[in-house]
This record gives sequence, C-alpha cells and structure tokens, in this order.
Amino acid sequence: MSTGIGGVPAASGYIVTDVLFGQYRMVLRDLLGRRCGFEPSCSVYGQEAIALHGPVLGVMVALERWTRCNSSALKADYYERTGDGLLRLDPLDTGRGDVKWDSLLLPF
Amino acid sequence: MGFAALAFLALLGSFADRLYDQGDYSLAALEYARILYESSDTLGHPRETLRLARCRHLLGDAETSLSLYSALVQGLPDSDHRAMALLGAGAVYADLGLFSLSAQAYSDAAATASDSGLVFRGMLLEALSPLHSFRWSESSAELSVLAGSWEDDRGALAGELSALVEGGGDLPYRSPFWCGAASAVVPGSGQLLCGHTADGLIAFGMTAATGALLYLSIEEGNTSTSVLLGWLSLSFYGANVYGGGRAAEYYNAYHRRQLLEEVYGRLEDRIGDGSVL
Repeated sequence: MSTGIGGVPAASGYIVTDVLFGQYRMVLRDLLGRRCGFEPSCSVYGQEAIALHGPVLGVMVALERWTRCNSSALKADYYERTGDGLLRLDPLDTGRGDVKWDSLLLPF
Repeated sequence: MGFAALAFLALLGSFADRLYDQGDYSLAALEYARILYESSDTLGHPRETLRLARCRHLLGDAETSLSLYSALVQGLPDSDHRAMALLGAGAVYADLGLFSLSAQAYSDAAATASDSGLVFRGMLLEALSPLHSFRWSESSAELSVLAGSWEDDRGALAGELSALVEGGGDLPYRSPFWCGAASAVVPGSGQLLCGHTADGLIAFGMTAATGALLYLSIEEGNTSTSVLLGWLSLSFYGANVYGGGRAAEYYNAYHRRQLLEEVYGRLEDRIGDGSVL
C-alpha cells in the first residue's frame, strides 16, 4: 500500500472509511494545509490500520496515532526522520532500529 | 576488439566512475550498462558489473542487483571479484531483511577471497550480522574471536566493536506488555513510564473526557448518545492501552538505534581515515 506524501493509498476494503479518508485528503487537507508531521500522515495511517486490523481495532490504532500527533511529539527524538528531516517516520510496524552498515563496508 | 573500441570503453568507464563517485547512481548505472552492452561480456568487466549492481541496489532495484551479483558469483572462478560480488549480494539480502542469507554470503566471501582486506570485511560483516536481529552477545562473541585472530589494527577495531556491542544486553528496556497493562489500569501511565509525557497526558485526558461524557449521558438516560459515546470511550481506552505498548516499542527501538548508530559511526570513522579498511 502506498504511504507516500500525497500519494493515495489503496482501498482499505471498507467503503465508508475509504470515502471518509479519501474526501478528507481531497478536500479538507488541501483546504487546511497539511498539518500532520508524520510520515505516513494520520489519514493514510488510519486507512492502513483499518485495512490491516479491521474496523474495530483499526479505529483504536488510528485514534492512538491521532492522540500522538501534536507539537510535542514532533519535537521528540525517539522518532526516526525522513530524509529531509521535516517529517517523523511512524509506520504501522514500529521501526526496529534498522541501521545498516553493510553497504558502507563494500570495497567497490 | 580494436584499439578505438577499447579507448571508447575506457572513456565511458572513467565517465561512469566519475558519476558513481559523485553519487549520481542513476546516470552511473546507465553508463556502466552501456559499457557492458558495448563489450558484450559481463564477466570480462567484473568491476563495472559490480558497480552497476551496487547502483541498482542503491536505486532500490534489489532484483536486478542480485541477478548481476549472482552472474558474477556463478561465472567467475574463486577470486577477489567473486568475493566482492558475495559481499554485495550480502548487503542486498541485509536490506531485504534476509539476515541469515546475508551472513552466509559474507561467510562465503571470506572463504573465497585471497586479499586479506576482503577476508576481514567478510568476517567482520558476518560477525556484525546478528546485530540486525539484536543478538548482542552472539555478535560480541564473534567479534572478540575476530579480534583474537587479527593482530593488527583490524583486530583492534573488532575488539572495540565487541566491547561496544556487549553493552547491548544492558540497554534500557520497557516491556510492551507491561506498559500496555499499566495503561489499562491507569490511562496514560504506560506512556509516562517510557518518558512520553505529552502522549500519556493526552491519552489520560481523552480517556477521562470520553468516560466522563459517557457517565453523564447514562445519568441523563440518553440511550442513543450513550451508545455513541460508549463506542467512542471504548475506542479511546483501547487506543490508550495500545499506545502504552507502542510507547515501549519506541522506547526500546530508540535505545537500540542509538547503539547501532554508534557502531555505524565507528565503522564510518575507520573507513573515512583509511586506518583499517
């Protein structure tokens, strides 16, 4: 499922949530301006959560992210950042500290 | 192949190398591919093939990268280029999360190489492989064996890394289960235990607010509002419990990442000053 900024993710499989999240991204987010400091954004994350966990658990997971999406979380150092440093990486599967040195040691 | 053709290939090669050194992997890949196409001989240009494979890897095309490395591994006799291809394939496997395959590739590279630097790289990468799965003590033991078998600066580096990695077992840790359980008893407490103060306070506030609204709604006997608020407060409560566990996962991941970044930094320094590798 695409989680790119502005990228439209695949359908969650639930028409109501797909319409709600889709309309939010198409209309409201563009009107209000992107405020979410996470990558993927809260709406994409919510849609993915509902696709993965179903509507009951998925809503809880989405709400949990929504409560974390505030200015203090954006200053927190426990999130990895995107390449440009502007957004905090917070995918559904929590980062496993994937620092890889393998390419660094290649002799060519 | 005539002199003019060889000169043309050499020119292309130096241009491709320049692009590669500048980090323009997309264009470098095109030039390396052109060299291989013009010469019609992948195995005759192992260096270019290795670099093309690495460019494809860095551009996110693991499949092409692995097929190029495989062609070199299968086509070349035991040689340093074959070992380099194995190292490259190991790096691709590591990026794909296939850590046992990457460790095997590094081990084969160390066994194949004749150059001592390549042997050390293969052994070092193999010893560092368990770190990808956070098996600190296993990696530390392998690094200390490596430190004992190399007398020079390489052994010293392996020893340093072994000591560094050994500290992985003592990293601060929070159990996601117990933090979730703490949040189930007192909303937001799991997040607070992990130092996520704002998240904890917000989780407490939202759970308390929706719970209070539900209570008032039930008191007033408003059934439809109570059902809606019941669903909402239950969802916020569940979100708070899940958040407690997730805060612990972030807490653990943060400390692991710091140690791994230290390992990365140590390797980068040694490669940068050229003292070891």
